[in-house]
This record gives sequence, C-alpha cells and structure tokens, in this order.
Amino acid sequence: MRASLSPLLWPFLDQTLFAAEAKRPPRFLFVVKSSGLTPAELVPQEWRAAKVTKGEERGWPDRLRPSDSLIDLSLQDKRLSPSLRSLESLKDHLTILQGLSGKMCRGGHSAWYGAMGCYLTGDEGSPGRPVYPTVDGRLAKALPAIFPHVGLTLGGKVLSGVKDSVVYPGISAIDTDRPLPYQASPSMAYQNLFGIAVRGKQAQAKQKLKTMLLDHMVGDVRRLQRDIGSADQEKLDHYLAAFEGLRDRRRELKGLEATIRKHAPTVTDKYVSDIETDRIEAHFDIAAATLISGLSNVVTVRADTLDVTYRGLGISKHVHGIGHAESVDGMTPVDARNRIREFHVDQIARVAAKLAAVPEADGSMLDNTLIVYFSDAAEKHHGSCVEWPFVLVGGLRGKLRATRGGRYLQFPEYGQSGHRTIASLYLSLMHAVGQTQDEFGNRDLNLSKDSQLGPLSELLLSSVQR
Amino acid sequence: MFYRVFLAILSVCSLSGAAEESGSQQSAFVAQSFLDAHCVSCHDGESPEAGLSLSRASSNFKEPATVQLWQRVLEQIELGAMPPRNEPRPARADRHDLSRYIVEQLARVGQQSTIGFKRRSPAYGNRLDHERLFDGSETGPAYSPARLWRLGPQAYDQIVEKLGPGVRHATAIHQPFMLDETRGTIADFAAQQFADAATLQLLMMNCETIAKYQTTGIKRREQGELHIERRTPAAFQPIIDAADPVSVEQIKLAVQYEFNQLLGRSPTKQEQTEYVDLFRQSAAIAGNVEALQTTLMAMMLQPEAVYRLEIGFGDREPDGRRKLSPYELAFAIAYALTDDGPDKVRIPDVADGAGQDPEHSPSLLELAEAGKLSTSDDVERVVLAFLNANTMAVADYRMFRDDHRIGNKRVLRFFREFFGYHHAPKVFKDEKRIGNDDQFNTERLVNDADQFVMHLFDQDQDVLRRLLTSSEYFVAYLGSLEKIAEDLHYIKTNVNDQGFEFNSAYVRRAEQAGRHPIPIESASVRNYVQFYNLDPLEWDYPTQQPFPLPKRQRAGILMHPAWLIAWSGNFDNDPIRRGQWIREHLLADTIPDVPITVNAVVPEDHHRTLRDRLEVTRADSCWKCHQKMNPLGLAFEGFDDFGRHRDREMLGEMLTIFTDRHQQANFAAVNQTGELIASGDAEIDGPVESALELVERLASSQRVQQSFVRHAFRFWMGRNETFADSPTLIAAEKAYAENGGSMKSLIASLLSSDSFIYRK
Repeated sequence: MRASLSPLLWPFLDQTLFAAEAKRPPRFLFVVKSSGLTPAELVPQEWRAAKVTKGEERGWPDRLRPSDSLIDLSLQDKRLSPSLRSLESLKDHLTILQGLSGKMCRGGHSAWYGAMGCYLTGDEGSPGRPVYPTVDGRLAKALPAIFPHVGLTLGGKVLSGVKDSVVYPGISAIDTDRPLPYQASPSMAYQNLFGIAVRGKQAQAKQKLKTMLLDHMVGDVRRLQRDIGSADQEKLDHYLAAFEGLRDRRRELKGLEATIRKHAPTVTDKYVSDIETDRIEAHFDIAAATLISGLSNVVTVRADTLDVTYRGLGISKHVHGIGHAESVDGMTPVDARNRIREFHVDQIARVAAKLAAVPEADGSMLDNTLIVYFSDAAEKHHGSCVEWPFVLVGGLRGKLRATRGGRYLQFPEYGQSGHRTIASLYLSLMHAVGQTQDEFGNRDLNLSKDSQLGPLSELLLSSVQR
Repeated sequence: MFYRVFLAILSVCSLSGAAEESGSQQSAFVAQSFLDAHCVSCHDGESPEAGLSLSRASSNFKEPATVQLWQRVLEQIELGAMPPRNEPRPARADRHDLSRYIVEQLARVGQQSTIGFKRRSPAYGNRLDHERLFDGSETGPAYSPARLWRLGPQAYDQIVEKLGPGVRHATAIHQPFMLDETRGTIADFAAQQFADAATLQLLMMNCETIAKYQTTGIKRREQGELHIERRTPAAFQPIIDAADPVSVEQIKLAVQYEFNQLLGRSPTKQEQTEYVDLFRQSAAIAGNVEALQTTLMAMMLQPEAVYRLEIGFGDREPDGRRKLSPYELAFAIAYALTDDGPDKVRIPDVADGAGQDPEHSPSLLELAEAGKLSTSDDVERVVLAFLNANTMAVADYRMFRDDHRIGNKRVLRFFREFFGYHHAPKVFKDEKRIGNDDQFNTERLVNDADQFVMHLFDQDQDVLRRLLTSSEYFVAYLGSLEKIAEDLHYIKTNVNDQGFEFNSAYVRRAEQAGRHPIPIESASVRNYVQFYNLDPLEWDYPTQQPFPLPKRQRAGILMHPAWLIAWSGNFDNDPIRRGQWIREHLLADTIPDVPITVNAVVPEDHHRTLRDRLEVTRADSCWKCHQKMNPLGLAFEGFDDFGRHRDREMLGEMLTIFTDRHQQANFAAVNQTGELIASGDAEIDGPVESALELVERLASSQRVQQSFVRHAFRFWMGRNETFADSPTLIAAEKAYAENGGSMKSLIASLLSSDSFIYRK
C-alpha cells in the first residue's frame, strides 16, 4: 500500500521527549548500499592475514574468518583497509561492527524492509509488506522535525535503475503498511527541502497564494468527504492529511527561512547530471545540509541499486553483474566492489567532516550524529544474512562507547554463545534516544530468545541501558 | 452452537479484570473446540499436515509463535481453504465467530490480522477456494465496494496531454501515479492505490507547470535563444489580457472550460461559486494571471481529478446495493477499456450498421446523458461495440513510431500483465553474451508478442487455446504491406543514415536473391530474429503475417522468446518461476513463500545441466512445493535463456550466445520432459514429452479456462474476487465458452455483471 500518512499528523509523536534538547537532538544518517557489504574488506590491513581467508572461487570476495568469542580491539595505529582510508582522520568516531546476523530476514538481493525492520518480507521483485516500522522510521517518530524522515535514492526497488522522481525502494517504513517515500531526483529534493530559501525574497504574494490554495484544497476535500459518506474514507483522509501537512510545513519552514538559507547546499550541475556518481554526491550534500539545518534528524540514503553502472568511477558493468563476479573492463570484480565502497565511504567522510565543523555543546555535531553504513543484502550479493557488517561513524552524545583511535568489534559467529543479531544493534540506537524496548521486529527462531533481547551492551554505555 | 452464543455474550460483557481473563480462557477453550472438531484429525501427531499441530494450540497471544499460528488459522478459515472439500464444512456463522475471536485476540496484543492485507493484494487472489467459486454453491449478490479509484499512470498522461498539448516537450512532467511493476501481477488494484503526501508533492509541481503552460507559458533556452512555450485556451485569453478586474462571466467561462477538460462535466453551481471566489481573492493579492493559475491548480488538484468516484449514486436495491449512476458508469467503462475519459471514448452505434464514422459516433458521456447507459444490457452492447470497432488493422510498427496505435489498449495491458512477457527487456542479460542493443532487441520481441496476442484477440475464436498453442507468429511485422514498403524505401534512400551503405546493400542483396528483406535499418537489430531460430541473412521475410514457424519447435505465447526471456534468470533458464507462473496463472493454485530457514540457491556448477543442478530441490522439505513447479518449468528446457529452440544444452560458461563459436564446449542432450501433477483437473495430469505437449494439455482444460477468467476478473474489477462474485465468474466463463472461446464476450460479461455495476 502506497499510503504514508502525512508525517505531521502522526498522533503518537513524542513531542516532549527531546524538548529539553530540542536544539541538539541525536541525528542519524543511514547509508544503504546494494549487493552486500563485504566483511573481509572492513578488516584493517595488519589483521588481514589472521582474520581473512581467500574467496572460494576466482573473482569472488575474500571471507572474514568467523570467531567463537567476542573480539574488541582498538584501531589505533592500525591502517584501515584501502576502501575505508578516507576515515583515517575520523577514527576516533569510527566503529567497525562485524559478526551480527539477521536470519529473521529474507536475504538474497534484498531483505527489503527486513534489513532495517528485522522480519521476513518480500520476494525477488517485490518488497512485500512492511509488517512493522523500520528502524529509521522508528527513530523518525522519536525525533520529530519538520521532515521527520528524508529518503534520498538513486533508484527505486533493488533491481531497478536510476529514477528521477519520488519512489518507494521498499526498505523503510514509518509504520505497518506505511512505506516511506524516497526522492530520486536531487534537484527535486533540493526544491522540497530548501526551496523556501530560494523563493523567500521573491514576491510575498506568491507565498500567500500558495497558502490560499492549500486552504482551499483542505476545504474542497472536506466537502467531498461530507458528500460521499463513508466510502473509502481512508483515501480521502490521506489526501486531506497531505494538504494539511503541506500547509503546516510551509508555516514551519517560513519560521526557519534564515537558517535554511544559511545551510542550503550550493546547487551545481551534479543536481541534474545523468552520471550516477554526480547524483550520489548531490544526495550526500543534501543529506548533510538537511541535518545541519535541522530540517530532519533522520536521513536515509539508498546509495545505489543493482541496475546502476558506476560510469563515473570508470566501471563498465552494472552492480548486478559485478555481484555475479563477471569480468569488468580493466579490473577484477573485487576491485570494482572495492572502488564502489571506497566511493561511498568518501561521501560518508565528506558528510562527517561537514558535521565535525559545526560546533555543538562542548564538541561538534558529529559527536551527536551517527552515520550507519551497511547493505540491505547483508554480507554479499545474494546475502545469507548469517553475518551482517556495519560501519558506524559519529557518536550519540557520549551514549555510544568510544575507543580512542577507533574500534573493531566482532561478535561470535552465528550459533555461538554471545552471538547477537542486527535487532540488538537497532535496539541500541533506540535505547540511545530513550526508546527502551526489549525486542525489535521478529526473532530468529533458531537462536535463543535471550540473545535477541535488549541492546548491545558492548556498544552502549551502561547508563543508557535499562 | 454453544460457543457462538458464548462469544456473543463475551463481546458485550465487561472487559474488566477477572471477568476478562476468565472470558479469554473460556473463549480460547471454545476456539480449541472448533479446532478439535474440524482440524486436529489431520493437524496432529508426529507428522501433522503442513507441519502444523493444532491439538493444543496456545492461546497466549503475547507469544509471537501463537500470533503466527492463529494468523494461519484465520487465513485458512476466511479463504475457505480449510477444512478440505471432502471434509464436513463448519457452519458459516461458526467460522465467522472463530474469525472474530482471533481478530479480537490479535487486537488485544496490538496485532492486526494479515488477512485483510492479503485480500487486497493481487498476489493472494488465488487463495480463495477455486471449486467453490465455480460450483454454483455461492449465489451472491455480487457487488464491488463503494470506492475511490486513483487514476492510473497512463490515464494521467492523457489528462496532462488534454490540458496542455505538447507540454512534455517543453518541460518535465513527473509521473505521480506509479504502479507496482512486479512480474506477472495485475498492477492496478483500486484498494492499493493512494494519493498521499509524496504523490501530492509531484502533483503540485505538475499542476504548477501546466497552469503556466496554459497561461503565461514556460521559458526554455535552446542554443542561447529563449523560447516561450504555451498553449492558451481561448477562454483564458481575455483574463490574461485584461488590465482591470475581470467579470464574473469571464471567470466562469474559464472554470467551465477547465472543468470540462478535466472531468467531462460542467461544475455545479456551488463548485463554480467556490472557484470564482478563489479567483477573486487571489486576484486581489497578485493580479489576474496569478489568480487564474492558482484557480487552475485548485481544479487540477481536486480529489475528483485524482480519484474516480465509484460510490453508487444510482438506484438502491432492496438488499442495500446501489447501482453506479450513468455518469459513474461512463467513467468506469471508459477506464476499463481505454486510458481516456468518457468524453473521448466514442462508441459506434451497432444498430446503425457498419461503416459509421467513429468521429461522429456518440461518446460514452453522451450516451450516459441520453439515457442509453443504465442497464446491464446497455453496458454489454457498448463494450462489444467498442472492442469490435478497434482492431489491429490500424496498428503501426514502423520505425520511430512509439505509439503503435493499438485501440484496445487495456486489453493489451491485461495480456501483458497476465503473461508478463513485457518484462523481457528488464531481465538483465550479460552484455558479452547478448551483444549490444540487448534492450532494443528484447523490446522488439515484446512488440512481436503484442501483435501475436492482439491478433488472436481480434479473431476472437478459441482465444485462450490459441494463445497457448498457435504456431503462427509475428516477427518484425510493421502492420501492412504499405508500411513495409515505406520503411524499405527509407532504408534504400536515406543516404544520410550512418549505416546507409551497409543496410541498403543488405536490402539489394536479398531482393536480387528473390528474398524479401527484413525492413529494419540496423544489422545488429536485424540479428534479433535469431531468437526465433531464423537466419537474419538468409531468411525470406514474410510480408503477410502471422506466419507459421516450424510447429515442432514452438507454439503459443509460453514458447515466445519474449515470455521465455521474461521468465528466465540473468544467466540461465528459470524453470522454477516458469512453473510457478503456470501454477498460479493457469491452474489458480498457490505456492507458499520460501520458508524462513531455507537459503535457496541453485548450485553454480555449470558443468552440469540445469535440470541436474536443480536436483537439490528433491530434498523432502523442498520437493513438497517444488514438485508443483519444476516439472512444469523443465518442460521448457528445449529453449535456452534467450528463448532460442535447442536440441542440446551447452555445459560450462557460455561466453556468447553464439554457441557454435565454442569449439571446445561440451554439450548434453536436452531433456525436455515434464509432468503435471495435482492440477485440479485429473484429465490433464500426467507426464509430458515436452512443452508442446504441456501447452496442448493445458489448453484443453476447463480449470485453465476458469483460472484465466479469475485473472481477467481481477484486472477489470481492480480487486480480488470474493465468494459473492461467484455468479459473475460463472457467467463470464459461460459467455466465453458459448461464444466459441470469445474473449470479447468474456469482457462484456464481466463489465455488465453485478460485480461491476453495483456498489455497497
């Protein structure tokens, strides 16, 4: 169902939770790549010989050696793997998280909503039903803003190519049956988020006309609701809520006009470029500006889809073909995967640097923003979800345990004592914003219940946990 | 029955404390009694049916496993799937009460039942018991829910073009009403299509663009020069030109014009007053032109321009159903048959005999206004007249023609969504195997398949049987001899074309050898005929089509390369999904999702045949479902994953599709045997030699015919069937069969049925 309720009408928003910290709530940037995030390629160079085994077949990625106990090491004095090297200067804010599983999800090309929601849904071509909200949706509800959630993407569903409109990639949901939309066009995303700053100095009259139009539309929809009685009320409710939401949002944006103008990104040719890397860069610029200007506290960037060809990186093959270890002109498929990951990480480092330059309390905005990089296909092109790696950059105002020089955390492998699932990672994020629930999504029925309850104690400071 | 009374009492008693708890316990006991009476004889013991034991079902709904269990029970009960047909059926009221108990318990733990979602989703349509739908035991009355049906993407495009002809050439218009494009499902289900905040965002942008295009114009810079593109209706010009406040009459004329374009009707008095007021208030702030733009936007955004109303404003029946009014019917029929509104859909008057100029035929709207569109007979007559008047005789597949002029567009869309062959260009094929232009080549195949299905639709005899078994195909056909001559002339004379020398030489050579050349101007695109095992250099192109391809090789749409590619994987055939497609689309059967614990992967060892590699599915836990799919799909192993017929399968990595170049390759003989089991029609069950025998078998089955009718129902009603729709389905099948396999009669029967005409 393509029905996302107007974000401003969510009745259950906890408006007071962060009232005291309204000016510096925690922020989240989820970066979701397709085709899996290769665990072996996250291992620092010094440990590679000990922790990585060669790929099973020629052209396939190397594999991370599983561990039967928790590995918790400092990354200080260690050289990050080549594709992560732009994070060297941000190592104090870096956690490499390995060994979690997510076998309550579907796996394959995409776990769809399951990747951030921890449940089985969808099939090869369709995302299926958002049975529960996903973690970005949950956080969006907990951290209200003018735009509770901003989704930016290159394409729609995982097998599709680059799009230029609003799409539903099927990975985020604000609630049951309420998928979250993503904007695939950087220029339209800019217009929606920062448009008021551009138009602000133009005729006041135009602004008034817009408000008048929205008022008229609210009245018009209500009149039809009266005329047709109970038939399909839900649809008109959504349409009405959409107008009301727009009207209220305009009012709020107006109040923030100066701030928005100050932080709006500079529009360049990249916003209308056909080159995939240009569009991704524009999306990351928008994501950073959205967080810095306070327009939203939760942004998800769907960094690519399987039908994307990274021409801007000199790669001649779709991500899909690379995932199948096909040959690529002038490089191995593993090289191509590394180059794509490096490009994503460069973007993340760019955003992190921008956030680090914004002073906040006694640190910077990066201390209170967590960037979460992972894949909706877990650990490989056809994800098995038996391991699900994450790269975390940033902080949550000291609620996240930090290790000087960065941290490498690898949980015991699937089935071993101490093994944890991605649900616990998401619970950690929820706990960090005060949402102290014990369970998230559905459980993996092959694992013990206890191992799936509560946040990752290794990740959070004990004061945050219940 | 005792527990029913008990549940009724429970529902009105106090929900407080101990009473509630004891009530829950007792109603759980009662629910268990239902299971004991009707379910546990099969679902119990060491190996219960479907792995589901119901002898001591937990009633602790706080446990996720309990929730899942009862969701399954609810689903089976609501869909009539359980108990099986040969077991005593529980009374309807008892089933209803059990369902209510489960829904209430779910609600207490904050869970929703999943059955409602499934009922609305096309993927779950087959869950409803097939026999019960067609055995005549259900008597209706049939109706669709009173509803709002959001415009489809193609219908929206037509409205944009109507309001602002050519606006797309001037600037970008975004599609706000995208549909799900999952392979093999009916895309446009009314209950699933919403206009929400994200849709509105796009709609607003489009409306602003169109309002400008209709008034002051859109600025466009080309090679340094500024162009202003606009299309201003005559009714707007006086307002744009006026220096002073304009008269109410002038505003009314503008409102009247836009309203008619949008909705095919005049505004009501109240609507007119509201738009005049909006104009005047806007004009006071920003002048006439801005006011006109704002008013136009308001009209374009009104809910009736986004949603088609199907409320049932007509007569009310004693049973509470209400008929669609003639105006509602005009819209419903227009969008069932075309992407245009009812003012543009013209119906030749069959009573006046053939040869009536379509331009002078009345529109659906005019028929409604004249009182000629109110009864079921009226609808049937109108639908048949329209379907007969639009044939492939005018189809145009010449180069550079994106619009192939197919009149029965919605019929074609049904065939595409049902068979899914139009997904062929979306199946990623490795470039090194297929070569360049793969997308373009597979689009050609889709064009060929379109002509194949629509030709059979026009002939309207034994449509389904011939769709499945005809060996007369279209390949690169342009529509007529004249059109072929036109494109050949272009190839021979267009000296500025980059490939002129090469292409004109090809045409000359073919003609000198006494063959008809393929009227395609690119050698790499001409190569696509190889998908049909035709030689692009030596083939004598048939100028009359369809023409027979060798009967021993392929027959019907399921052996059309477009279908075979659409239902193939990136590197291999996909017997599992082909089999699943046949199960779900032709046998009205269901295949459960892959279980959560299964990591379903076909071994990558390319030195074994695909059939051999699929042996992994023979494990007991897999085969239970795979036996319903694999033996159907494997019958198509006589084709490669590009749809080319083959006698042997190449082993090892295929480097190009031209297997002859693989000097060192190993081959295995193709085994294309298959089997139909538990089809629901015992007459057709049994082993088959190949896909050719399989499709003949399927084409002879009434079950297949009924499954086809069920899918057609879903497409034209925009929803899944219910048991109350049983009389509609039976009548549609009868209309099809009694008229010699007439698809047109089937559609006319569906659209004149109570399911289509009544709302409740």
